Amino acid sequence: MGAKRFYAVGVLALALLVPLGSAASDAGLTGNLEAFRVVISEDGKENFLPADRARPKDIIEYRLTYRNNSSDAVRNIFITDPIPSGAEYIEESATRPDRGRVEFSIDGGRTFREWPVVITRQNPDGTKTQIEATPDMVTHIRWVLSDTFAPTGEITVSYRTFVK
Amino acid sequence: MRLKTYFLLPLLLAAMLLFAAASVLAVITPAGTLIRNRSSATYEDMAGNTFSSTSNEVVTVVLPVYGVSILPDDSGETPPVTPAAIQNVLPGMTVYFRYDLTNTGNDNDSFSLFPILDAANTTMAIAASDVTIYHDLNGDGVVNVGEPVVSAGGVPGNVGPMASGATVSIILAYVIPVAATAGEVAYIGVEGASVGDALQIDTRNYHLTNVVNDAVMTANLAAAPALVLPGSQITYSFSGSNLGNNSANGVTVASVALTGVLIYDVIPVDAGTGLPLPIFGGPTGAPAAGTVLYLNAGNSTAGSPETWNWSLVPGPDDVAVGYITSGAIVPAQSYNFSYQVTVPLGMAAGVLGNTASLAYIDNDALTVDPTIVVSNNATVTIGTVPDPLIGPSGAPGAGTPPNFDDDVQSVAVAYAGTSVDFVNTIRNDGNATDQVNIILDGASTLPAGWSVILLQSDGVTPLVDTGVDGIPDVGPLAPGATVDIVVRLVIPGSQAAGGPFDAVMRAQSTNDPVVTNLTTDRVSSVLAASADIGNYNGGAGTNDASVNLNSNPGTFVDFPLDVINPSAGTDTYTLSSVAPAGWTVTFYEDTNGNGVLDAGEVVPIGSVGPIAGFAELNIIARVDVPAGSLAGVNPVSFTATSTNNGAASDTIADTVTVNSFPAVDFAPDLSGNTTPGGTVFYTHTVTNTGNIADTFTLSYVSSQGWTYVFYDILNNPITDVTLIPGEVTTVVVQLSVPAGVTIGTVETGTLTATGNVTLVSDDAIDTTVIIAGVLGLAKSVNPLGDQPPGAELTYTTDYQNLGAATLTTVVVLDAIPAFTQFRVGSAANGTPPAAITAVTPSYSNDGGTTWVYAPASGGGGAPAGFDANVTNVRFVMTGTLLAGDASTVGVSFIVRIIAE
Repeated sequence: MGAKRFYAVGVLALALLVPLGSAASDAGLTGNLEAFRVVISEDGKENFLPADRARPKDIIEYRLTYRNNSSDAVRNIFITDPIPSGAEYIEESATRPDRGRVEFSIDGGRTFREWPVVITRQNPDGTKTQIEATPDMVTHIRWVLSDTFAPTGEITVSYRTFVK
Repeated sequence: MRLKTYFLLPLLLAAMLLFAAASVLAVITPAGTLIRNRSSATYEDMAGNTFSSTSNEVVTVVLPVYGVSILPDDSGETPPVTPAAIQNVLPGMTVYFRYDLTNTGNDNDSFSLFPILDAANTTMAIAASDVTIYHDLNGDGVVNVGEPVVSAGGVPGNVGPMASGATVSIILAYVIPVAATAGEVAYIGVEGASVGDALQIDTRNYHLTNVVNDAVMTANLAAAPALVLPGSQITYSFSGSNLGNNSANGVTVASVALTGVLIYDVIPVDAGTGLPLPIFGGPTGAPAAGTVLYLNAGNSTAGSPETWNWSLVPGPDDVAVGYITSGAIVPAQSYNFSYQVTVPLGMAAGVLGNTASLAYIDNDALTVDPTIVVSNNATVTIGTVPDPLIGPSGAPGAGTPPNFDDDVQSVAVAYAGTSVDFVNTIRNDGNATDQVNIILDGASTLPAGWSVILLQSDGVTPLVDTGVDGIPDVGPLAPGATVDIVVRLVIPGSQAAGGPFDAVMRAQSTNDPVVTNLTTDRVSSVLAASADIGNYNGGAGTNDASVNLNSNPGTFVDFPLDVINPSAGTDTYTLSSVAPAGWTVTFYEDTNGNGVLDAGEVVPIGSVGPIAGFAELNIIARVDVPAGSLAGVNPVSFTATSTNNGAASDTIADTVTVNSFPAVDFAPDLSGNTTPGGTVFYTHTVTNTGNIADTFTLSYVSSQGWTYVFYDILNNPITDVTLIPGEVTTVVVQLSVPAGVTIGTVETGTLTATGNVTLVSDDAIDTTVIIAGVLGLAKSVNPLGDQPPGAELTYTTDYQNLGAATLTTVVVLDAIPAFTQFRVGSAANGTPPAAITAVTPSYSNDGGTTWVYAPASGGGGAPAGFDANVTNVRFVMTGTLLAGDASTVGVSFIVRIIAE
């Protein structure tokens, strides 16, 4: 079944063109992204420091806040964040929305699946093995929100990475 | 079902490549790297329109971290159970131990090195200060002339600076005391510390030197060339000699039934395929008479090497290669073994290490056999072969060999003012991770005004420079990995129709910027912005048939219109019109689209929009038809012109039919008096107030049956006037009063102008009172001149008996002028001459027929203090007006010009 699902997604991914004028930009939903370096103090508490600088192995938490600044309700919100180059996703760190789901891509944002993402791997002898993707393979995270957002409605989601 | 296979395979391949990528990318992030993050969102409004939004970007600068690794390690005990290396030596010999030092930090760093000695377990008379550390510049495991000393006399010295991840070879060398005896040992190691962070230390690395009275085999492995590209060969030369004082005896390899010193190498493996590098050509060895051995694919390398399943015959993917001498290697005898391997195409760039070994049996029955001597680690660098490919979505390798530059993906038609997204797929066919730059190539044929936006595969996040060259790139792309980007061509609204337009995209290796690949994203044809205006049809589309509206002169007609954007790009349209001279056209937006100009919509506009692609807005064109406009059909046209493309406009041609509108005005009504047998003249105007020329016959009806004669301004008798629309002429009428008429007779003459063709008519009424004497009347008004509505006017009539006879029953009659109202109580008697004993005003509300009306405030709807019902005022004098007598102050009344 895993192979069949991938087939279906593959057809979509290979579609030549996106529709003309499919998405226009406006100031309705505005996003604010913040980054914090997570430092655990001696008493075990987490402290959140500015993440303008970090060292390899440091943990960085990204917080994404999206707010409906328009005068009308909006819905079918998809928030997507590519894992930055130089960072690696930390498993189970992505927050789950109350109504909606969080999905992961391991193929550069072409396809998204809920965790765990199962991959079919072809062995040198031609046989196939199904394995679960590991966090280092995650390229994008996407939050799919079920709520309709009234004016001024907002949501904050977050996830963590470490610096490779 | 064929499709299924087709799509499945690339995905499986992609999955495999991702695994390879993960291993390659597991390197430390270099100091100074900018980790950039920008999120995006898509959403819908409640109407189902899709929008997107991107967040701010946050940037984290990666700081330096430092680290050092020195290999090989010992096993950690004191003394170590497994030393970093073991060499057997004779007294007086110089020994050389090779180590590899790696900069495991993420920044350039130097390293301080010094030898250390495990004094507790070293029995030989030697100190750390006896050890010299060399930098083995060429990595051949031998101290060559010119290779520098890092540390001597136990004093720490530096190597470096070294790039992050770089490895150098170092050699520890020292002389065994001549007085040493067999069985003495030395445990000597090396400590290295980061200069960038002195807390980063790699220490111990103890090797073991055994003083023996036996064979001492040296083992040196050289690899050449230092830099090799995939497809080329590496030559490994493994050599050494017996520096000892006894023979190195052979081991017996049972699988081939041969006995000799076994010189062998487990062939380095291509990490990408997991396969050993293939042997190229025939290995050679010395001393002569030995035999080349092969460990074929599938055989284990566990256990002592003479127990491996060696073969005399080479096979594909041989795991190891060896040379077994024919018998022992005696003291001072040297050996060598040389073979070549081919670096597979596609093998990842990087450092490839290799150590060779030999196995022999010494002459000491107490030691474990065989004795294994391991060479230095000989490294070569697998060179970088950049090969970025870019192509249509899912087909990065498209195009004609050898350059693959001519691949094209097309969109047949796009509209001006819109954008077109192309998905391009980039694949790294090189052998090293590459930050592939994406560049709009100069061969592109996009006209000025177009813009190209590079986005990540989500179509929202901009492609940025993840490196340092300022050029957007796809980020580090592992060998074999693919990534999609979105190339968005934004077509300006002003783009004229035409095509094709090409965005030639160049994928450029940052490992070697000379290596690039092209693909073309083509818009075959652009449809220009355009305009469509037509008559309102109450729904989608419009009515392009001409519409006629009828209008009287002096009023207006409204044309409801549709303005449609027939293109895909949002556009605003300027509005213009053509109408007959003197006419005016004003446009309004019909915001509720009902085809009627409603109260809230009376805001003139010069343009309409923005109108989204293929959408429609409604407007009203109000055409004012001036008074006097001739009857007939008049063309009017309305034009909408695109602001995106001023050459694009559309016009709807309609007509206004001005109705036939005959009208005439005969004015004013006048009054006067004369004596019996006298004449009186009244001057009037006749105006053709319609839009049809006509001849108007002049006629009259006299209440007394008297005669009126019409004259023109030149005093010529006339019976009619011919007037074009708007023309005015003066008509004078003469009334002749018969002699003997009773004094006081009132004559009412109704004068009529009647159109001969149009039959329209209008009257003027002249009222004449027959008087006995010659009563001179002088009427004046105060204030003089033009007055605004609401002003009050005082009319005063002075009177005088100009004749020789005494006048009795003098009555001064006056009419309330049109558009005025009588002020109640304003009739004033003035100051009459003495013979007039009383003056009595009275009023008529019926044009003078009766005089019994009593004015009342507000009468006839007039404001308080006025009476609109009063039509005439008269002053009846009691007494006589003697010849020559005159009023000192005449009779008067006040009226107000109607303001309502």
